[in-house]
Amino acid sequence: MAKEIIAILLSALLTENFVMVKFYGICPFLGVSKKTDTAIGMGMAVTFVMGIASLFTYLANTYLLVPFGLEYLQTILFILIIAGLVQLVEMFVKKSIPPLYNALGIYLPLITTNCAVLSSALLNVQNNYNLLYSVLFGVFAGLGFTLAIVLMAGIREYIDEKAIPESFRGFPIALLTAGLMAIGFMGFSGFSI
Amino acid sequence: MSKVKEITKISVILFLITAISALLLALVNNITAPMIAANEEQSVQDALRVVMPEADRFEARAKGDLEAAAEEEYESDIMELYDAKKDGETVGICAIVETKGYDTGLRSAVGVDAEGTVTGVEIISHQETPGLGANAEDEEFRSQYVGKNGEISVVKSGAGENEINAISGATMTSDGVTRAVNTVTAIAGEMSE
Amino acid sequence: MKKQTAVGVFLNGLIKENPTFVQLLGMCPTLAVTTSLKNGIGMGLSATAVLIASNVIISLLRKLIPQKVRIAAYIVIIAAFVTMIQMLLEAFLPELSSSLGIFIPLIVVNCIILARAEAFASKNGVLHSAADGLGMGLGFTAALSLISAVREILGAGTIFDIELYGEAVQPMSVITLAPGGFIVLGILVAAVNYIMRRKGEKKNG
Repeated sequence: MAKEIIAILLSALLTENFVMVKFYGICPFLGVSKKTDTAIGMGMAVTFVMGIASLFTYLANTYLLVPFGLEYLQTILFILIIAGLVQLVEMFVKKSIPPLYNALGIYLPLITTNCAVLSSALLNVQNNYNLLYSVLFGVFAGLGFTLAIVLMAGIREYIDEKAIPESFRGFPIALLTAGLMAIGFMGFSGFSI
Repeated sequence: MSKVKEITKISVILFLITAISALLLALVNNITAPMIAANEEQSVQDALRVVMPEADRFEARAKGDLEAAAEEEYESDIMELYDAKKDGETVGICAIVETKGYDTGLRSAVGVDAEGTVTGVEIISHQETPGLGANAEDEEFRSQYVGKNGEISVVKSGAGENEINAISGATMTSDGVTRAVNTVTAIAGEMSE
Repeated sequence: MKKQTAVGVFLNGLIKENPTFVQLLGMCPTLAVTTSLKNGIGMGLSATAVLIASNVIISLLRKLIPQKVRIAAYIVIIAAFVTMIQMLLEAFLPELSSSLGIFIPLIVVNCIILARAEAFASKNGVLHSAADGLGMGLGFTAALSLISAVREILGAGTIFDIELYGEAVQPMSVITLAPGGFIVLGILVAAVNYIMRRKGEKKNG
C-alpha cells in the first residue's frame, strides 16, 4: 500500500502534474501567479479545498448516487458540494482563524470555478479510488498545483523586470514560460514505480 | 419581510431550480441511456469482428478469477471476455481490455486463437495524443501483433521475433497496447491448460 | 452606455470582447482539447450550446432568483445543461465524447459561462442574452478552431485527420503535447495584442 501511495504522490506531483501536464486549473495558475507569496496562499487554499472536496464527493457518490443509480447527477452534485464547501470554509476560517482568512480570504471564492477541484473529484470516481486514496489524490494533486504555481510565480517575478517586447508583456510571456516549464515536466513522463 | 420568511423563500426557490434540473436530467437520461448502451455494444461487436474475422458468433463469459490474476501481473483491466465460435465450435477467445497508455482509458479488443496466436488487435477508444499515441489506431501498428505467440515486448526499431516496433514518440502507448495483448494471451494460455 | 442591438451584442462577443484572446477566460479547455481541429470545434460548439441555453434560462429567471444565492442557482442551471450535452454527445457522437473525455463535465467550471451569467444574462432580456451567448460561444469556438488548426497542422501534420505532407516531413510532435499548447497560445495572444495595438495607434493618429 505504501508503494501505491508513493506512486500516486509522484504521479500527481510530477508525471501527471495537474497544471503542467493535464491542463487543470490554468485560470488561477496564470491569474494569481504574479507574486510568490500570493501563489503560495492560493496553492494552500486549493490543496485544502481539494482534500475535503475529495472526501465529501467520494461519500456522496458512494452512498447517494451509486445505490440509487443516479450517476448522471454527478457533475451537478459535485459542483454544488464544492461551492457549498468553499462557502463553509470561508465562513469558518473568517470566524475562527482570522490571520489565515486575511492570507487566503480573497482566493477562496475563486476556487469554486477552479477546474482542478472538480476534475480531482471526477477522476477519483473514474479511477475507482477508495476513500483513503481519494482524499490523498485530492491533496497530492493540490500540492502538484501548488508546486507549479509557486515555480511560475518565482519566474514571473524575475521576468517582469526585464525588457520584453510590448506585445508579449503579461499574459503571452507567462504562457511561453509555462510552455518551457511543461517541457521540463515532460522529462518526468515514463518514470514510474 | 421577516428573516425566517426570506430564508424559506430562498430555500424553496433554490430547491425548485435543483428539483426541476434533476427531473429534466432524468428525462434526458431515460432517452439517451439505451442509445449509449447500444452504441457501446455496437462498437464492441464491430471490434470483435475485426480481431477474430474467422468467428461468426461471440459468447460473453462471466468475469472470473483468471482475469483477476492477469490484472495483477499486467496492470490491465479485462472488461469483457468472449468465446469466439465458428459453426458452434470454439476457435479462440476475444477480450475487451482497458490499460493505461499515455493517458488512462486506453480500451482495446484482442483476439487469440486456440493455439495462443494473436489474431487481431483493435483500439476501441482512447485519449492518446493526436499525431503520436493516437497512431495506435493505424493498421500498420496494430498488424504487428497478428501472428505473434507468447509474451510480446516493445522495441524502438528493428523488431525481432515476438517484438513489435513502438510508435515513434509514443512508447507509453505502445507499451499499453502490448500489455493488453499480453494479458489476453496469458489468459488464453491458462484456459487451454 | 447606449442600448445595443442584439446583433451588436453578438458581434461584441465574437470579436471585440473575444472570451479567449481578449478576456483570457476558459483557459483549461483552450489548452487541453485543442490537439486536433475536430476536438477544438466539438468543444467550442458544446460550450456554445451550454452558454446559449444557460444565458436564456438565467435571463428568464433573473427576477426570480434571490440575489444572495444567485451563484449557486447559476451553477445548478449550468451544470444541468452541461450534463444534458454530455448525455447527448455520448448518445449521438460517441467518438467525440470519448476524445473530449473529462473536459465535457468540466465545461461547468468554464469561467466564460459563469461570467456571462453574472455579467450579462442576469441584467438583460432574453433576446439579448441569447445573442450574447451565441456571440461569446462562437468567439470561443473560433479561437479554439484557430489554436487547434495551428497545433494539428504543425504538430500532427494533418488537418481533419487528412495527411498534409506525406512521409518527407516529420511533424513537430511537441506542439500537440502540453508545452506546445502553452507556446502556441502565447504566440497567438501576442499576435492579437500586436494587431490591437497597431489599430489603436492608427486611430489615435
